[in-house]
Formats: sequence, structure tokens, C-alpha cells
Amino acid sequence: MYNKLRFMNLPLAALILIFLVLLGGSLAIGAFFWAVRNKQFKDLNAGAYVIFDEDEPIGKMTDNVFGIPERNHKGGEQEG
Amino acid sequence: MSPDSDISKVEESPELSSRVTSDESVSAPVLLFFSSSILWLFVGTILGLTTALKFSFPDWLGSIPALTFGRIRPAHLNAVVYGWSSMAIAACYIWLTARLCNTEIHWRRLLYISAILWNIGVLYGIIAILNGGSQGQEWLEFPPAAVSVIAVAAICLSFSILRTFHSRRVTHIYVSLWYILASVVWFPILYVIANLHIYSGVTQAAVNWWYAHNLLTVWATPAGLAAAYYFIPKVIGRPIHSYYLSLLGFWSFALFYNWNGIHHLVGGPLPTWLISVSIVASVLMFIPVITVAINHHLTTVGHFDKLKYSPTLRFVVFGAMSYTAVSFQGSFEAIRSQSEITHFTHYTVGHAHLGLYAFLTMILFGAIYYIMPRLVKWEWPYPVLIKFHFWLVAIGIILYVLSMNVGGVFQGLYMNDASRPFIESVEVTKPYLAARSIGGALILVGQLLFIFLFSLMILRKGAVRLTPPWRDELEAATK
Amino acid sequence: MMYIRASIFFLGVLATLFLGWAALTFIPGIQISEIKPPPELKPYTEEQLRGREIYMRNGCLYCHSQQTRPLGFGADQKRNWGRPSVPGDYVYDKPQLLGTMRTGPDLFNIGARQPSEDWHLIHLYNPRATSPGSIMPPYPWLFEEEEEYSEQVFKAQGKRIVPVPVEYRPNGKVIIATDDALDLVAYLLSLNHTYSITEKE
Repeated sequence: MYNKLRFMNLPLAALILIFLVLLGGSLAIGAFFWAVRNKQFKDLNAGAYVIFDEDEPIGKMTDNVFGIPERNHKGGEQEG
Repeated sequence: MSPDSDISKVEESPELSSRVTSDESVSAPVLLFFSSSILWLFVGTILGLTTALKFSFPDWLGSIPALTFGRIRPAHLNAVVYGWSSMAIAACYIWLTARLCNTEIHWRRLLYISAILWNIGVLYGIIAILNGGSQGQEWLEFPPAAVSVIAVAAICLSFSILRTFHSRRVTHIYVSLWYILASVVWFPILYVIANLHIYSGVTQAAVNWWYAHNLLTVWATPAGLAAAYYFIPKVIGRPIHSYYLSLLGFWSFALFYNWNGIHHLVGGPLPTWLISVSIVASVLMFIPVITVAINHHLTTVGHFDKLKYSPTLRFVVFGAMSYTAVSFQGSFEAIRSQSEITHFTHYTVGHAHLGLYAFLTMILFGAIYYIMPRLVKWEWPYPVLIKFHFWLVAIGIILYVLSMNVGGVFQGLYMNDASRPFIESVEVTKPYLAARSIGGALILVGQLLFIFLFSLMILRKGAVRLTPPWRDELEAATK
Repeated sequence: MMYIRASIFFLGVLATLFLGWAALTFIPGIQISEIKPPPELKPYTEEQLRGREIYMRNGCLYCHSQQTRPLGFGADQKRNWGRPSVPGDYVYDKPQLLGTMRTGPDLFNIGARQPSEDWHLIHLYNPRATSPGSIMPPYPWLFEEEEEYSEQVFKAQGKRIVPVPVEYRPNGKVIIATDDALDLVAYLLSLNHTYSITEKE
């Protein structure tokens, strides 16, 4: 298949690859700084809370297949 | 506290409805994918055990062409990778996407098509391999007909997931969803490019192993991590320790892991720079792996007692720890001085099973144990069987991996010692190959229990037990 | 805003995949395509290609490699498995059968190391007949088992009788190689890369 790419040779391909890596890297760094400026990272830790809700809140186990009577969390936040 | 037979009719409070609606919308396709995957798990395990036994009894079933080692071994691999793992991954992706987008799954009909096509593709491919129709590339043995069908199935899955994401009712995209979205975009592209019949020579070898390793990058690992990132905090009831770490972990993973593939060809007839680049990338993987390990560990630390309560937590924590182990092992394995000993030996096979079984499959078991009750609204009957399942497969896979790793090192050392005739590198592995078969047998038995339990769940049979999430309300009401 | 974030995400995701693809397959592919095949390497004959198909479809590659490592890396050179293999050696290999396991020995130069047709035929019929301790599977369906008393008839017909030791064949039978077996052996014997190569290959 590569024999059909007659215009392409190794130095040219390597050059294109390096260019793409530099371009991609600059875009990535740019996107990072854009994100920081746009407060994307402000309060990032809030994202960790989205999997909980009113009925399955933090502090409550959501799986007890073995049916063992639950003791309080070490943090003492257990409620029935 | 007598179980109520119409538990499922208990009124749900409005706050429950979103999570429950998501679960209900995905119920049929997820059950279809899980059931199919477990069928392939059974087929794949039988094929695997037969393959393992043939190392010890090479003449067993030796006159049947369809059962020769060189055909059932790839049949085993393809059944457990494209049948069991892939379809269970698809089911998890569907369930997780609906939950994490806080909405119903969209384009559900595409999912039914996907499941049916996926089954057809894998079935056709396995039969083709057994019939002598393998395409001759590892992990890419399926003929073009099977590949096309599976590619379409994968694209259908991706469309449904992406469409659901488009209609999400969340402002924040949870970390598991990053892995899922990346995965469903990556996988069809990778699968199609690698299966084109346009390569030859050592370039084809490069494509082959770029593909085989990238399948872990774009499909197996994102699935395991997405599940671990959800189930560990969800079961315990604690948020992930550091969300910033999750972000670093994801992007370093995406950047480095894509470059690992050629570490399968260390010492081979390929440009040195190419092999070196993959070795460097393999070692750089310490960064995302340690990031994930810290995150999961610090979320779980102080709560290891919770493993008593939840089979999901047991399986997923086992899997997450195995992820760290297999990744560390892989980073070392890629280094030239290590590869010199372990390349071409059973060590590689042990490593592969540490990854695909101890990591991915155990996490998939954990996911199924969590998801099923919430879909069929029935609790797992006979929890003691779940404990047997866990311990049998855990001991089985540990035995498997240890025997192959130790045996593989001896094999490599003897192979590299020119004063020993080659046959000695074979002889030294024989006891380890036998031990591996025992490990495989334990795994088979554990999985038979699992299949039995799963069947009971689908049929809603077995001893009636209280179902989540109404259990707590009922307990409170009957105290 | 959501669309910007999502677009950045998907762009990054695609970029990481394609960067890896380019570096690991596309660029090397171009580099390798510039290699001239060694003049002493001949394309496979029809018979050898048929044999290669059989090798491929019966999964020989899951136990045998076809790549010889350089001096100082493993014992390939000390075992006289042939000079280190180079990309040019594989130009006619479609598909490639480099292999990643050595449950059995490397076969890159097996044609030079073991040039006896009879040895290969016996070995394929039942590996333990030539190699005690071997765990290689047998391939009896590549052969026919006929009554011993017709041996002279078969010889007259030009059929290839395989001298399998008497303890490894069924009572009173002779083993005859089918065309498949002969093709496979032709392929194995063609695996001979002992010609020398220049830098460019």
C-alpha cells in the first residue's frame, strides 16, 4: 500500500509528523490555558459528587447483597 | 420482615425517578448484551480450558482438525475478547451512559441491532476459525464478513451512546463518561483500520501489534476504569478522592497508551527508533497508572470493611488492584533486558490474563452484580454461591498468572542458554502448564456458579430476597 | 460553552489515536516501503504459497516465531538459527507470520537447519516420533492411512510414503502424504534466509 504514495518519503513524512506533534501540542497547551482562564477548573472537585443524589447520598452504602446488618460509617454518617 | 411479592409496585418518590428511569430505559438492551456476553464467556472458557489441557496432552482430540490447538486457541481468544468482554463492555457503557447523562438511552433500536449483529459476527468468526478460515493475524483472525458485521454493530453502539450524550441533562460530565465517550469513538476507527487487507511484511506486523495493544487502550482499559471510577465511590458512598487526578490520569493515559504497541516486537526486524519509542511510552504509563491507583486507593482506604457487604466492591477492588499490577508488570516487560527473557514465552500469556481476566473480567463481574438487581428488580439469591464464585475465580486466576509468569521466566532463561537443547525450555514449563490448567478449571467452576446465578436472576427465581432500593424503606417500615 | 468543551474533548481524543497510528504504523510503513528486497530472496512458488496457507490456517504461528534476534539478544545466534532477520526478508510475506511465541523453535531458517522432507513429514504426522518430549499437536488429517499390503501399489502410483516408525502408526497401516502435507513441507523448506544482506535491506 505504501508503494502507492510515491510523493511521500521518510524525511518528508517525519517532518510532517513532527509538525503535527508540535501543532497538536500547542493546541493542547492552548486549550489548557483557555480552560484555566474560563474557570473550567474552578471547583473541579464538584464533579465527583454528581453520582450521588437524595436517595443515595454520600455516606450511605448502595450495595449490600450479602445482607449484613450495616454498622455506622467510620465517619459516623449512617442513617436508616 | 416477610418479603412482599409486589415489591416492584412500591411507589417511588419523585427524586428516584431519574435514576430509575435511566435504568428502566436501558433494561432490555443491557440484558440482551449481558446474556449474550455470558454465553460467550461459557464457550470461551471451555475453549480455553481445552487449549490449556492440550499443552499437557498434545494428542488429546488430535485427529479432529477443528479442535487442533492452532485453531481452538484463536477461537478461545476471539470468543472471550469479542464475545464475552466486548458485549459485557457494551452493556456497561449503555447502563453507565444513561445514568451519568441523567436521561433515558436514545436510539434504543440501534442497540438491539447492535447486539444481534455482534452475536452473528462473533459466531460466524469462531466457526470460520475452527473450520480453517483464520486470517492468520493474532487478534485479527476473523474473516472480512465477520469483521464487517461487528464493525456495524460497534458503530450502532457508538451512535446510541453519542446521541444519548448529546441529550444529556447534566452540566458536569463524570470521569467515567470521558472514558466511555473516548472509547466508543476510538474503537470502530481502530477496528476498521486494522482489519483492512492492505498490509504486508513487517509493516503488517507493526499494524498488527499497534492494533492488539490499542484494543486494550481504546476498549478494554477504558471500560475497566470507567466501571471502577463509578462503582468504587458509588458502593462505598464516598466521592472520588481527587478529581484533578482523574483529569491528569485520563489525558496522560490517552497520550501515552496509544504509542505502546510495538513493545510486542522488541528485538524484532523493525526500525530501532520505533521499538524504542514504544518502550519509552510503555514506561511513561507509570504516570496515568499511579494516578488512577492513588485515586482509587485513597477513596477506598478506611473502608475496606465494606468489601464484606458488597460483591461488586470485592470484584471491582480486586480488578482495580490487578490493573495496577498488570500495568507495572507491562512497563517492566517492555524494557529490553526484561523482554529478552520473557518475550516469546508463557510469561506474556500470564500477563495477558492478568490484564483481561484479573483486571477487566473481574470488574465486569462486579458491574453485573450491581446492575442486574436494578434492572430485573430482584435480589441475587443464594449469596453464598456468590462468595464461592469470587474465591474460585480469584484463586484460579492467581494460580494461572503465577504459574505462567514463573514458568515463563524459566522458559526464557533456558531458551537463552545455548548450552541447553531447546527441548529443555519446553520440559521446564510442563509442571507450570499443568498448574495453569488447574487454575483454569477453578475459573470454569466459579463461572458455572455465576452462570447459574445469572440465569436465576433473568428468570426471577430462587429464594426471594429484598431488592434495592426499596430495602431500606421496607426495613424501616417493619422495624 | 458545552459545545466548545465537548469539541475540544473529541478533537483531543481523535488526535491521540491518530498520532499513535501515524508514529507506529504510517511513518514506519513509509520507511519500510523504501527498502529493496534482497536479490537472493525469491517470491514464493504456488506450491509454497499453498503450504503457507495451511501453516497460517492451522495456527502454527501460535507456537513458532519467524524472526531471528541479533547477537547479544537472546541465544538465537548461538543456536545457529540464522543471521538476524531484517525487514527486507519479509517483503513477500502477506500476511506476515512473525509470531510472538516460542513454545517451539523459531522457523525462520528451518529449511536450512532441517532440509529433510521425510523428517518434516514424520514430524507433522506425529511430532513425538521425531522429537521426544515435544508437546506439538499432531496433524494426521494431512495424511492418509492405507493398508500395508498395498505399499507396492502406492509406490508404483508415485505416492509419497512417509517412513513413520512402526510404534507411531496404527497396526498394519502405511502413512501416505497428501498434497496438503507436501505443500506445507515445501513451504517449510523454503524458509531459508541464510543469504547475506547489505545495509540497505
